[in-house]
Amino acid sequence: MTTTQPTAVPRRAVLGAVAVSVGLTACRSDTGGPFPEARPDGTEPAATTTPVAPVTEDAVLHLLRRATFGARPDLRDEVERLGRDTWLDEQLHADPSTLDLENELLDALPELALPAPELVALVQAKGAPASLARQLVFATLVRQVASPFQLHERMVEFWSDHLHVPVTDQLSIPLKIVDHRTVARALALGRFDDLLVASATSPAMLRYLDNAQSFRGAINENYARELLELHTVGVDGGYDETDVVAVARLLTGWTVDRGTVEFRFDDRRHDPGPVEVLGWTRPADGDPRAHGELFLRHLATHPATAQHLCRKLARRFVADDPPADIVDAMAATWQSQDSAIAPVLRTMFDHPSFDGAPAKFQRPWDHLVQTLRALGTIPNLTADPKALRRLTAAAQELGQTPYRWPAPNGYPDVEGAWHDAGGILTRWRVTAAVVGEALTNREAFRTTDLTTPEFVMAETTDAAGVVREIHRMLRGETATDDLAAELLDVAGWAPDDAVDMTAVADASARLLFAVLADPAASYR
Amino acid sequence: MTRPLTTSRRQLLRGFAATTAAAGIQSVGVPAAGAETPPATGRLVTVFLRGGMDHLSAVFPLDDADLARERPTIGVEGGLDLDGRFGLHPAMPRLHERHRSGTFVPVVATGNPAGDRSHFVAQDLAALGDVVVGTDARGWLGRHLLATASEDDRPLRAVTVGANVDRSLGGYPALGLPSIQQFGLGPLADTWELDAVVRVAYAGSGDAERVGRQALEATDAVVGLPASTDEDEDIRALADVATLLDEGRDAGLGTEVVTVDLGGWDTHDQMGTTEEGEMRALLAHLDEVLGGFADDLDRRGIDDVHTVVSTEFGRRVRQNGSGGTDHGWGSTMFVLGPGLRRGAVAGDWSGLSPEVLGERGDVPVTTDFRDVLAEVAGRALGTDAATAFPDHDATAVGLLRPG
Repeated sequence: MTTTQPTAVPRRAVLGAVAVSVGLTACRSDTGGPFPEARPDGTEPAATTTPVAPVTEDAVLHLLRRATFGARPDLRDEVERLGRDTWLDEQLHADPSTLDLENELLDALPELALPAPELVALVQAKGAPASLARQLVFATLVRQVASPFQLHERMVEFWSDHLHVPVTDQLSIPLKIVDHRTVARALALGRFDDLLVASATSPAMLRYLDNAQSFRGAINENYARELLELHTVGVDGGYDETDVVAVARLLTGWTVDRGTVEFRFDDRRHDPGPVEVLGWTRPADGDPRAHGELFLRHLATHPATAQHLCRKLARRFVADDPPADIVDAMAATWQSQDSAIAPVLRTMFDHPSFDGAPAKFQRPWDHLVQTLRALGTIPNLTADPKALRRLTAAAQELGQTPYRWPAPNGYPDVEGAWHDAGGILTRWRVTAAVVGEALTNREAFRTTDLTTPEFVMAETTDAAGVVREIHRMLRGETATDDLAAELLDVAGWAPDDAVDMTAVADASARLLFAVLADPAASYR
Repeated sequence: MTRPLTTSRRQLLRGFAATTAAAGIQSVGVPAAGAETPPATGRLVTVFLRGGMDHLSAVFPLDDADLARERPTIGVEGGLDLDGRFGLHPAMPRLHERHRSGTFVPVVATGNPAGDRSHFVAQDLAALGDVVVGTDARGWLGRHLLATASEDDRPLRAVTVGANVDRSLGGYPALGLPSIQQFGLGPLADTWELDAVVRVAYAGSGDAERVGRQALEATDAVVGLPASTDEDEDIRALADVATLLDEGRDAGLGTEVVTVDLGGWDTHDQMGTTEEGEMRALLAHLDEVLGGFADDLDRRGIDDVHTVVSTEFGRRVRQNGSGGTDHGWGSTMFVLGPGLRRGAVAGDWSGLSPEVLGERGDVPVTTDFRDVLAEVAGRALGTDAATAFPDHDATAVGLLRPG
């Protein structure tokens, strides 16, 4: 009988359960192999299916497609009016709580503002929490489509993936609503050390990764492991199994109070023993609960955390496999600014590698929100609840309902995880359905007149001019000659055809669909 | 009213197989199908239990004092006898019956020699078929599929039933199919001539064109197939798998490999007891899903499908502080299908004594997971082990009857 011993192997930080690649890139001849070589710095290779060139050469559009959920023409005008720097500053110091949109949301979805005990009581009394879970998704959708503070919403999304707590069972729903409010939304552009402490003391997280049940002499190491591997230093961050246990011991007694449903430190069930992990040593005296917080703040500014988080941010905003120079620059800012997020993002957007970043494949939810924004819609929370439910059903078909990824690492963020024939097919089907809804259900979607024949034909009546105008309104830039020809083909028009209102009305749905379902519209 | 599409000035999309071949997929650094690789004789379904199944609740040594000591409250009692040594959880009567009839064999103490306790590293290694994340990002099945690809490949040759294509298929253009019921362009397809619109939009778009072509061809093939409407998503998924395999044989879908994920296995707390609780529910459900699938294949007269069930790691032998189990190492794999050694429990078992468990407290791995995959895929697909697992010398596990 032979027993295989564990092999000591170098490990790589691979964040997605299905990350790296299911790639369709086997034919790429310029990379010397079916996939890009793994990088010597240990980052994962990321497959792409299109040429690694930016989707647009327009720097403002490029910024908007990365920093927002879709570059509407009016937003483009705003950036040009304010100037890039001023616009970015406004975005980086946004306070969404003052927005009319927030008042409107909370009027329509008042439960989202309730304190935890009331939310829990509500679920226990009513029993049917599905509608409550949907409210959070509706709010997310409307904020991402309509908020003027787009970068804030982008960061809320990022933290929701990074410090992911999925909606699972009944009790998880009220806890998730509170977690979303007090962690990702409250601190989206704040400091990561504050985010980490907020997450570590969030009842949703304490329950999801079982720290609420980890006590002296009877530890549960689930949270400690993911805290190190996913939330902070990363799998190659320099810790071992002994460290996982030590961190779990340090955080014993961090639990959830059954009455208030709030964080509680149970010092009777806390292990006050010495801890030495990743360059941090537990102080000999002082408040044992405060020691845990000190350690979290130490972790938040650890160099490995700076690298791990900045690479992940760059993966979200720059490229699946971001250049090392931009990650290093961001990490330097991270450490000099005590993990403050806004300066790190500023470093990223201002870095020379940002403007030349290659095309980034949109995750399916991204594409759905972009489609709604491009069509000039703002889903109305009260007019037609069924229409909203059709949108959340669409997200489910796309495989990316917010807050539903079943593992603690959040939805994957590389093309290989999403770009396959089945995913594209679903994207087409959902895009067609959304175009149809936006055009026929204008009240529920508050569709602007951007898509009406009158608006399209305000300046032009020849076929080529009409398709170019439609493309510009949806994508923020003029169609290339190839794309214009393609759209004429879809409409069945010759370039010089004189078209009238009826013809445009007849063709507009398919033209809108063609622009939004085009491969170019799946990249940002 | 819309006029029909004019003939495009751009070349319309070519067939999936043609674009696949043109892109040179079958000739990427691996030998093409040839004399060394026997032709595929069957089909393969892989089921991944994401989260790390607690193998010792599913298949465990009977009357084992070591196990009772390590698991005072969550240890399973009254196991259904497999071979006199091991028992199956009493909530798994269907698999027990299949074990008796010779169409189910568990392999104990299997896993990855790397012994990584991270979900995400361990899952990646399972998909890559390796002990380290190296430069070859193709999955183990992806390597086989590429090596045996041809111009005749159908768009549904390799399918994940789910929204994210499984990484084990990586490198090959596999298709994600969330469900047969929802597959296709939807109710607007005819009114808006969506097929024609996307043909124009995707023509000439480089690699995306192949994806688009595959999507359209898959739509033609799948829409109209009988779709499962079962309320349980796992049962629905496996019923759709059976339909694809059935149609693959009779209607030329050409489906050879299907992967499915079943989630919920990261049981860190409150696993419960033999009679009630989360672990029992998970295993009873697994028995229903796998047993139901095998029954479905039998009813359809399909006898050339092997199913292999695996997970990223086994869980720690000793229960943790909250009545659950933390991440461990060695686990158990399940194999279902024809030609198995009837009544076997495969794999070497070292027992659960403190000396065996060592400091890690894990079941040590005695059978490399790749040996199990190579043996089953070799039989089902004619997979060449050295192609699928280039960094591993596969040795026989002996779970199949010679033949």
